[in-house]
Amino acid sequence: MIRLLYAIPSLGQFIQGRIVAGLTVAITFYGSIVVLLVIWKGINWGFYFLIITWVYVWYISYIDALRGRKSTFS
Amino acid sequence: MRRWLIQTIAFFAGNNYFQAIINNTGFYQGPLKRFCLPYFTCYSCPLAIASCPLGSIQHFFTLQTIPFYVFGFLALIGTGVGRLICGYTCPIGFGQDLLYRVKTIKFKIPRWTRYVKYAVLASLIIIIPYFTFEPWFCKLCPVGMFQAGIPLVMWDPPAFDLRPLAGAFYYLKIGIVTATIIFIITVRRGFCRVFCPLGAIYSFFNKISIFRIVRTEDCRYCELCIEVCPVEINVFENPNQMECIRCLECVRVCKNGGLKFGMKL
Repeated sequence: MIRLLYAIPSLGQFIQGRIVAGLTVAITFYGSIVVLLVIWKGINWGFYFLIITWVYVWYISYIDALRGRKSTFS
Repeated sequence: MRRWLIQTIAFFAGNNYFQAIINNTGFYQGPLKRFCLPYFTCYSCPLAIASCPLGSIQHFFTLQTIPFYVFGFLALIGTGVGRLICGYTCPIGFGQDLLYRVKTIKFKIPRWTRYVKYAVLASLIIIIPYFTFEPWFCKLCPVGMFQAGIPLVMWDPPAFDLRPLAGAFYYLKIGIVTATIIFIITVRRGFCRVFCPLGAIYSFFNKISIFRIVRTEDCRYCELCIEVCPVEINVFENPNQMECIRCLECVRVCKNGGLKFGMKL
């Protein structure tokens, strides 16, 4: 169950008590969504690139949450 | 003096135009913008009082002229201290040092990635601007987006009315800056090592600079310098490699006096 929560960017880091890591991921991921919403101009080719970026951020956040605080260096 | 303090002073030395925010006027456009700083910073940053050397180089190439002034300025600094600018004054390097401290998963990058910044220098700074008359590195620069693109569009000063201009390309740039932040959190000095064209320019001077790292006979091959090196180079084999950003962490940890930073003519 808890692994499902890790799939939400930054939540896994917060659950593990890594507040700074959680905040950094949250500002980066949700911040980019906020900036997009402020200037929203509809779906265009740039939006698809942005989706790729979000998948990349989500993936890094997810594997970081799975590995946890004990193994921070690969 | 501590490195973080020098980096902080360097940042505010080039980015201190707070009147822009107080008076709601956008950014500084006075005579100091004719000069470029020795480190990476965005011309359009609301706080910036001088130009970015990379932006200045592109500007001249878009006019199909060779930027002797900027190259001369960078060569002067490079022959003096090499990439000490990267390690000690660049605010983008400072930001990377801070972000890497965030406890997340970390990655090592393959050695070939160091050549990407030379490709970026040749293509986006020199060749493409020369033929397209557009500063393409500035258009894609994550630093520019972070320092100017996002703050200015979010702030939207009345003198500029920038929000209507943001379109598909702005989406792309949001993606670039987001990916870059995650990249530098997970890879130590990732932007310097892989993408920074200014670091690429300074790297040519590392081996010939007047001030450089010198290995003395007191070196005991303890490899402590390799452990602390942010760019993962073999320091005691060749301390003045092109990749060295001269943060001088190796000199600091070397208790035997095996490495020294000093003048060598």
